[in-house]
Amino acid sequence: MTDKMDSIFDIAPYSMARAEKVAFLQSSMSELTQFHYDRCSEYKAMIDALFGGCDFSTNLDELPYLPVGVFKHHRLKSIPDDEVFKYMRSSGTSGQRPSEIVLDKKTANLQTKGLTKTLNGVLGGQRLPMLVVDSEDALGANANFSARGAAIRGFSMFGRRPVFALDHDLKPDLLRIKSFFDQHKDKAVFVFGFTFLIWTSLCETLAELDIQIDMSNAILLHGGGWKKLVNKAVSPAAFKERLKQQFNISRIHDYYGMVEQTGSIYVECDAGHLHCSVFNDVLIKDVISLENKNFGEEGLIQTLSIFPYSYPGHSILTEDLGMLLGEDDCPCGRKGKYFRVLGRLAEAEIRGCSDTL
Amino acid sequence: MTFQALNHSRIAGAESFDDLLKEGPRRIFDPMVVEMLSAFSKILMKDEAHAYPDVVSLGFFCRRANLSIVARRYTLNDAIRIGRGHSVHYTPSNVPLNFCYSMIAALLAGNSCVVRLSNKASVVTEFVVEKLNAILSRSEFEALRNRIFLFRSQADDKLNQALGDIADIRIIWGGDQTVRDIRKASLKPHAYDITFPDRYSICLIAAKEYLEENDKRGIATAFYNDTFVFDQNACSSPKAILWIGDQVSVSRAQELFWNQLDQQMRRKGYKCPASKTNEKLTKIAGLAVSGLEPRVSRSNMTGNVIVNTMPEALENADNFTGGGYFLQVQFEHLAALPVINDHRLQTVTHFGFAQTELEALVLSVPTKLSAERLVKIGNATAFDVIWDGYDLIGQMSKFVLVQ
Repeated sequence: MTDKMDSIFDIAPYSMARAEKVAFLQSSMSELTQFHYDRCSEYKAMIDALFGGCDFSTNLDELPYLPVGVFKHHRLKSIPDDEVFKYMRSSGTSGQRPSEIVLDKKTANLQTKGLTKTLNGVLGGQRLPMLVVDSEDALGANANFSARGAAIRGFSMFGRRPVFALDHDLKPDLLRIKSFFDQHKDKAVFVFGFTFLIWTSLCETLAELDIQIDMSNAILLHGGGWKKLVNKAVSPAAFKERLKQQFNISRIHDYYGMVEQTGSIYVECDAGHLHCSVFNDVLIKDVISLENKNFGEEGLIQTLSIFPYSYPGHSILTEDLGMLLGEDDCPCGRKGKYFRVLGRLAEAEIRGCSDTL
Repeated sequence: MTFQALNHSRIAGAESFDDLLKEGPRRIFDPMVVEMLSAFSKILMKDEAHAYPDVVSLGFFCRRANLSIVARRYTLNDAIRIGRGHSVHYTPSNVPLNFCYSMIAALLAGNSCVVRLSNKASVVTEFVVEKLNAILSRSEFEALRNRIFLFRSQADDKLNQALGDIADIRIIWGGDQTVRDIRKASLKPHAYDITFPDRYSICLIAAKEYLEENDKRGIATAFYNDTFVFDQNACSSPKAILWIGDQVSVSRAQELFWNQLDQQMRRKGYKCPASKTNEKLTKIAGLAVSGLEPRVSRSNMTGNVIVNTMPEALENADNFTGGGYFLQVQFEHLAALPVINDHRLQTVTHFGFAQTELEALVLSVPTKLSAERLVKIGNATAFDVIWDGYDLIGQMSKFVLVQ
């Protein structure tokens, strides 16, 4: 298993076509499932209850998964206590319980290597000067910010000396932004931030202030979801168009990822598609029957990652809606499946007695 | 600050809030109130309302004949009973007509009513408000118009305090968090709250009697109405089924019961809310980790999930969820039921038991079921002025001794 894990980083992340990918993933996934089934008694109990036991040779379509909610309620781990390296916590919206993920050195190391390999294609494999579209407070202890904080910390290792573009009130710090772009005029820079903050704190606020900054040298990576922007009726296309017009940024990449599978992110290509790599994969399940959906059909996103050894998070059913668009044939040339995220299922439509708002 | 000075939009009733404040209490089941509700009932029951089953139920409740049955419970005592004054109602967003029942109980108890409606407008709410306005604009009910004030507003501490300052009784629907939030606003010393916090409900079925029943489809329809009209998310929706009988009969009855329910869901074109799919799986995983041996079956057509588990699962309401998720547990006989002494247990819907058996469950020492309503399957959401253990007419009125 370890040999295979080492050699996987020698493979270009978007180079595996379907036949090879399926064979590789199938063996990785059944090994991981067996590994966790033998070492994590909670995982074993869950899989027995949800899937009536476990046939480890099953094909990927029938691979067992955990609903993402279990990480909010259970601390799942497949390693002895003395191998625990650190805990990662996430909290999405306030009031929700955070997920808690147990990492050992090996898993943390795989996550870092995987993220590096994945981002090399976007950032060119060198550490660029980095502008973080967030406040330094996001790295503080405040739990509400921890998801953002974790992402910033994780991506910061791909930049040099990160500069924070926003002040405590999430308003743009004009002096810093200007001097950042002045200082690095003719070379590529890495701009990172949450989709919503880039829209409100950069696009909207700088337009109100009527401030022009040329950011054409920026490679922009953003994530965190579209929910808040959907409320503002901003589409991914409109988002890109605005960044192009306002700041002259043309290298813009959305990414999809979650703390439960850190290091295994899905990055948007120039054709606007999120891509699976050799490290991960996506299946779509019907929201009612949980059966697999075909390309072009909407359903819940199931994410696979080959990195989780310390905790049983290699196959997770998310609460996000998505759609597979194709495989091996994206105009950008990357191999593997590509897909679109259609947002999170809303709790709002449910009827009942609670809440008088 | 006064309520009048704060931002709100009037929906129905008194033209001016000051007019409402001038209103005093009336006696319970005041003839003009009964007259008005009976007229309200007539226009609610007209053909156009048939598209909305909950409007028809409301109309049915307000019939003169029904109101006189309700009133009979209160005629035994010869003391004079009148309202307490101004009632202030916070009503929930997701059970559209709840505001009406709350208001009607308060009116019948002799109070004037200030009712905050949810900001989520619904077709049914608009329909009923329009009819209420029509009734109140009739000259014969002019004297009642100023006793009602329906409004919408943002949730706001200042507004809550302004309403706390005028309330003689405050009725808070909407669950634990809402009760906590609204209670931050103080009341006058003599005033008090009637609260409806988070609750859950269960269902009790005698397997043998079920197997012998001819109208299994009727039971499925009744159970469906109890449950899925509010996505199994109302306090009165059953979250667990307790089956009484030997293992063989229970298994047989379960199979028929869930089959019938699935068919009913399909007849209604009902699919479980997709937003609950992940949570259901998470709940099953939680049961498994707790050693409660969940054995799961789910309908691929409707998304309904049935989980056979152990009695201990019933001890923790966290094991429940809505949107088509039922725990079920088998017991050989009623005496084998565990003691469920949980103030959150509201309704037990039942099939196949005698009145005396059910009463014995409540009256046994210790109480087997701390529920406040034991009603036949199909009546879980049927409103009564006895609700959640409150005698609403009693709680919202006062005795006056004249000697």
